[in-house]
Amino acid sequence: MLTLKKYTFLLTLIIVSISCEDKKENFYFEKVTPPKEDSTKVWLRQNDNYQEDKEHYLKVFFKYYNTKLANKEYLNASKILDVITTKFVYFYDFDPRLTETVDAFNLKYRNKLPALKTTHIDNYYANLEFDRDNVKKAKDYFLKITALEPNDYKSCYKIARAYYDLSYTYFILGDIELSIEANEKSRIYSERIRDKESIVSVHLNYINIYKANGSFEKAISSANEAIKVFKEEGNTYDYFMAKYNKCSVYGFFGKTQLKNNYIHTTYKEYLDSKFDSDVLLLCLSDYEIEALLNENKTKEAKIVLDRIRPVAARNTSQNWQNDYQAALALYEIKNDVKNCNTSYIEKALPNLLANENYERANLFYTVLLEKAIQNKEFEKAVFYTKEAYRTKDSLSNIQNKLENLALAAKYETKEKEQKIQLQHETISKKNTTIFALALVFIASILSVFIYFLKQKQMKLFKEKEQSQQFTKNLLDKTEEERKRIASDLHDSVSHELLALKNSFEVNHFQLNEKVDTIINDIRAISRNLHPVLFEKIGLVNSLEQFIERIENTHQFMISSEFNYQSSLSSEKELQVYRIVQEAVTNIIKYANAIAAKISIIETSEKITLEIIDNGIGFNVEETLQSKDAFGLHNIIERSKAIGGISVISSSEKGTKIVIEIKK
Amino acid sequence: MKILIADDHPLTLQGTVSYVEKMGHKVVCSCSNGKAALNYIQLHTPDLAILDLNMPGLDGIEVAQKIFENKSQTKIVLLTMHNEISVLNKAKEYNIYGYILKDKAFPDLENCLKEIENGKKYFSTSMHNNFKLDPTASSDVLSSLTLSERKIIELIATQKTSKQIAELLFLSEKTVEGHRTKIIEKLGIPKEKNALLIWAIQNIKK
Repeated sequence: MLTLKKYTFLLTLIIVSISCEDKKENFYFEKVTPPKEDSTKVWLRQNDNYQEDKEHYLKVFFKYYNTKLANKEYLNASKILDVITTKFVYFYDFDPRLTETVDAFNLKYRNKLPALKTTHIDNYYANLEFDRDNVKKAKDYFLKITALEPNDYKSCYKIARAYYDLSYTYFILGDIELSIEANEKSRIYSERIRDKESIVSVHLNYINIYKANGSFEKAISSANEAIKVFKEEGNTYDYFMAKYNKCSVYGFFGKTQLKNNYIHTTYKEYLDSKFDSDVLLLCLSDYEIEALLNENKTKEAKIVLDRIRPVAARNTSQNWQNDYQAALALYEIKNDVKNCNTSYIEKALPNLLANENYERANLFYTVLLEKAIQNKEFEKAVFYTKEAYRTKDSLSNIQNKLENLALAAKYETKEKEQKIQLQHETISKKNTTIFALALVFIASILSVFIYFLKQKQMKLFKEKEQSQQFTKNLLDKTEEERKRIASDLHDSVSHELLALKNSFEVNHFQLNEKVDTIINDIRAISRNLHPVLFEKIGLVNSLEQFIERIENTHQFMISSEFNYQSSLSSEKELQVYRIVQEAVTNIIKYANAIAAKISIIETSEKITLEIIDNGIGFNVEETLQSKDAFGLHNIIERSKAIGGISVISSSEKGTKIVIEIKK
Repeated sequence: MKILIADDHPLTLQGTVSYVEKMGHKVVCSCSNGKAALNYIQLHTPDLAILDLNMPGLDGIEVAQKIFENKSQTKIVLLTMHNEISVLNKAKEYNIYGYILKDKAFPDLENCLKEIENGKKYFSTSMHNNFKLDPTASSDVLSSLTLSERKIIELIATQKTSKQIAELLFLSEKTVEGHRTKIIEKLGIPKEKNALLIWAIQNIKK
């Protein structure tokens, strides 16, 4: 029983430790392998299919999407819409047909689904507004997403991305403090899903944040970190995007030479990579054109410009359109300042300023400044210079620069602390695992040990049982034999003697006496060998007669108390009788007692035999170990044979033998 | 009287039959085992059955038990070599009419049959004093006392109180008091204070 208790305790311990581990796990979300998707959905997921034939791609999507809606499979419709919107946002393609679809879904079906499952709608709108330079509106949409708490891997990923975008949005709005905060949030949620790319994206934002803070080295090192990880992860798109950002850092800090060289190699690297992305081509080309114009390589700039002209024409992103227009304007200014058309830029500026899109406003002012200088319109040039500086400063208020630097540093230490904590958690998790494993190991060893112990115990028990059985058999056989001898003596010999006696003449008095004595002797021997008709008469009657005989022969008083219902078998009763016989013989031989008492008390559970005397007593331990303790061993063995437990205690005031036989 | 005799010992059986017939009784059946005896008794109900104790099949006591349970009119006498009070006590439970020891059959059996004819029971007189060895060293006066009584008076002589005596002999104080009264009666000691104590000190020698 005890070992069982131990075992249960161990098991509970293991379960508790495992469940503890589970609680810690809640912070993280594990990526779940999605169920197998149908072929259309898989097809729609592939970028190639979009890029090869967008019209066909859209057709397939609408057919699939409308079927799902018709079947009232709103969740599935939402899921496919998620795939498509994400893809279009990735390609900066804000096709009005898709926007229409999103609008319709937002109005009719969105409320049928949980908020966490429809964040892609807000994400689409946010990106759309962002692209339209409505940065503030975009910010509100992102905030809508970040207000939610994730409940699985996917929702956590979406929220991490939303924070990432929000951080960039704040940066554009010139609120570096909030930008840092959102960026750090993005890091936390990314860590909760352990998504390496998502985590490193944080660096992309830091490039801009450090840039705005005037911290060149930090901005570059963030860029390098991002470039490194994206390359490792094989994420070509973000790899080049990070390089593009690095270029912007060089530009921002006026390191024109570095910028020019860097964009040349990057642009070449991009072309060599054969990676096909309109967005990358556009943005890298913009810088390349800028660099080439800076170096007065107008012809080369034209080649690059011509290459992107068709791409820009089909691109639906206003963002890249703006950048393209800026690049185009720069080229035209350099090439033919008289005929260049900057009306697009001039028209766009008020909207940019209203939306506090300082980064692009800065870019445009730079273009206009360039034009003014070329046109030798110095008044305008002074104004544009001022405006360019103003917009640049707006990206990060000079006053706040130091504060923000400190904040960033704080986050950096926080980040380190977080990493340390994360490591601690991992270690403690590992420790728990090791602990649990060790426990399991110990438990299994223990169980094996217990098993063997049990086996051994069982074997011992069996052996003991066997030996007990043997003793019992031996005792029974002995009794049988004694009984046979007794009855032989009594029945044959006595009868023969009787016949002999009867055959004598009447006056052979002396002879008769002798024969009677012999008959009585044989009776006594026979009686000692086996109590007469024991099976018939029973234990109590036999014992009473035994006591009476002892009292008469030895003038020794034995009181008795019998409360026994004959519930033992005859064989067992005989053993009890033998035990009493043995004990009383010992008392008479050695105890020097005034009297003794024999009692048999039966209760519902057991039978208790007790033999007490008030003799001189003896040392039980010593006697049992000495050679002449046959009588005592006899008592112990007999009581074992009938399934009893014997306790022998003795002092100078007397001896007590108690035998308990369980029923 | 119509008598059945059962004994597995042929010589004894023959002896008993001729002895009973000599006394003028009619032996209607003689058999060598308990089963045959029981069958005959159940069928013919003789007046008396003289049964040996040890017999194959059913023994004397078992036959007596069956007869007793069947409320048969046949009276049972056990004739045996067993000089055992315990056996006699057991047999008495089945309302036997006589218990005769074989070695004392002559003349006990004759006396027994006479008693039964008069409607009485008879048990061998030699049974009771069987255990007693020769009277011990104790004086003649004490021989009328039982062992317990003798032990008690010996202890009284050593000036033990009733309580102490009770403890020493594993008896209750009440029992000891009872014994004291019996002793006083048996020895004819006047009912005075401490009379028994004085008597004991004077008469019991260590």
